Amino acid sequence: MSFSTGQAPQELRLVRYLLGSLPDAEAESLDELSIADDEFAAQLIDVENDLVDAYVKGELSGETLDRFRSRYLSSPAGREKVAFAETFRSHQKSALRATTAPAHKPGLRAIALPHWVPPWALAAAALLVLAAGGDLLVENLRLRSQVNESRASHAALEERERQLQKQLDDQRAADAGTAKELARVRESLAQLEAHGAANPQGGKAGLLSFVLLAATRGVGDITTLTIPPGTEAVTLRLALEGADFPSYRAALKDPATDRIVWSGADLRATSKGDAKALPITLNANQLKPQTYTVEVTGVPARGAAESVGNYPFRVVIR
Amino acid sequence: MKKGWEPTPSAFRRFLTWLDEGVDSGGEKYLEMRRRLMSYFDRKRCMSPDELADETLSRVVRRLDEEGTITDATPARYCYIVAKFVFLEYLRSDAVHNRPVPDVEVPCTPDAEVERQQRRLDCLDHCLQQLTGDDRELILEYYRGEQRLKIERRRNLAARVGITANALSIRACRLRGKLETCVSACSASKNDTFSPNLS
Repeated sequence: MSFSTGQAPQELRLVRYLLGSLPDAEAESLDELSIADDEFAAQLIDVENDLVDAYVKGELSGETLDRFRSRYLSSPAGREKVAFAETFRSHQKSALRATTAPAHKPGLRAIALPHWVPPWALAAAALLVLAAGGDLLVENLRLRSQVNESRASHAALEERERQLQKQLDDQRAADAGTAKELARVRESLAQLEAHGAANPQGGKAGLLSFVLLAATRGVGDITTLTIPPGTEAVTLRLALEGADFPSYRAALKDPATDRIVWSGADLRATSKGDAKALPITLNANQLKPQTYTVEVTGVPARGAAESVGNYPFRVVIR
Repeated sequence: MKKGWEPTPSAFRRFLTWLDEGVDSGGEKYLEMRRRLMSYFDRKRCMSPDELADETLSRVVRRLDEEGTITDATPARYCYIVAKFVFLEYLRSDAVHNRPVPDVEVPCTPDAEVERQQRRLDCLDHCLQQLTGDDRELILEYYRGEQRLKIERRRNLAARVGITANALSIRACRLRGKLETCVSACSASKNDTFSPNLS
């Protein structure tokens, strides 16, 4: 399987950037992002690590492999990263062998006797060994039987562990599906409420509320927000999947130009049952019919801020 | 290239505060910016990317010290602008025209190679032990298995740890960076009493 198979287009673009295959103008814009944009810098190093690992695992081929050898390996830093990846891979392989290898079977070892031991002493020792031999044989058979039973139990336990792990994975996949479905239902509900709110009979005219999920890398579906004309404000509830920070920063960006349309700092999350969300409210006139992304960063009490996720959405005014 | 200006402790402190943008990172932002600049100069195939990164940071510290503040760009973007100038100066400098012949790595004998690999493996073991149990498990799991299965596996891992896929990749890369630094320092050290601190 080649490294490029199954890679997202953005990842392939970053691989080309790392290997110096992009046109200059495009590379220069990524140069800037690699230093000035936290999220891009994080994604770039993730892709670089995967690229190096793919080389070490022999998953690169064709032009990518040629460029990797001629370009990436020409730098001492690149070679150092490859050396680390090789060591890390060896470690993982030996860890895997240690968990799967059969128990070591002890063999006979030559016994070197000191030259001053007389031959009769050896004969006497042999007699003693023969006398004890019967008992030892019985003991040996008993121990071997115990080892076999233990191995059988171990194999059964491993099989059971595999079954349980599979059940857990299935359950997690089902939970993830349910969570997505729930979010879709909430979104539809919010849209319905929004239409109701826009209707003079619905009260609270001009305020809309939507729930947005963080984008998952590699999945391209974008939530569409339908905003009726005359809407004054839009509240976006950004679902926080497991993120837990005392405060957050958010920036609404136009991805086409990377321009920040709106930004907010010291934002607090709200909880509803187990679900946590970060609400942000925007003036509806800030939103044009186009695609936007909200970038959310978690700010810990101490230490560096961390990217929590991106929330892309498309605005339709109708 | 202008060199020779040494930042004073107070100028450097002011620079760290400016780079942190109001959130004390305990020097993490500085280290991260230095890493990004080194990678930038390395991708540009410059010699001594670390010296060029330091030169960039030194110029930013100096400008901040002289002006009191820099408001025409975010700290990270300003660092990029300065890095670009440093790179253009590098291209015009003698360093690029009188480039020495790059070091040719002398291949190790098979025994020496095995010994070197073993040493690095021992170092990796040692460095992994400096991580917390959770971090150790996370990095081993994150980089396990085949590339083609990584997206699904990492998504499952993120769900299990209870963070987003983005936050997971940031954490894993940070841990890998720490391990790389630790293993590199350990294997370069001839001294068996090497004791890295990964906290």
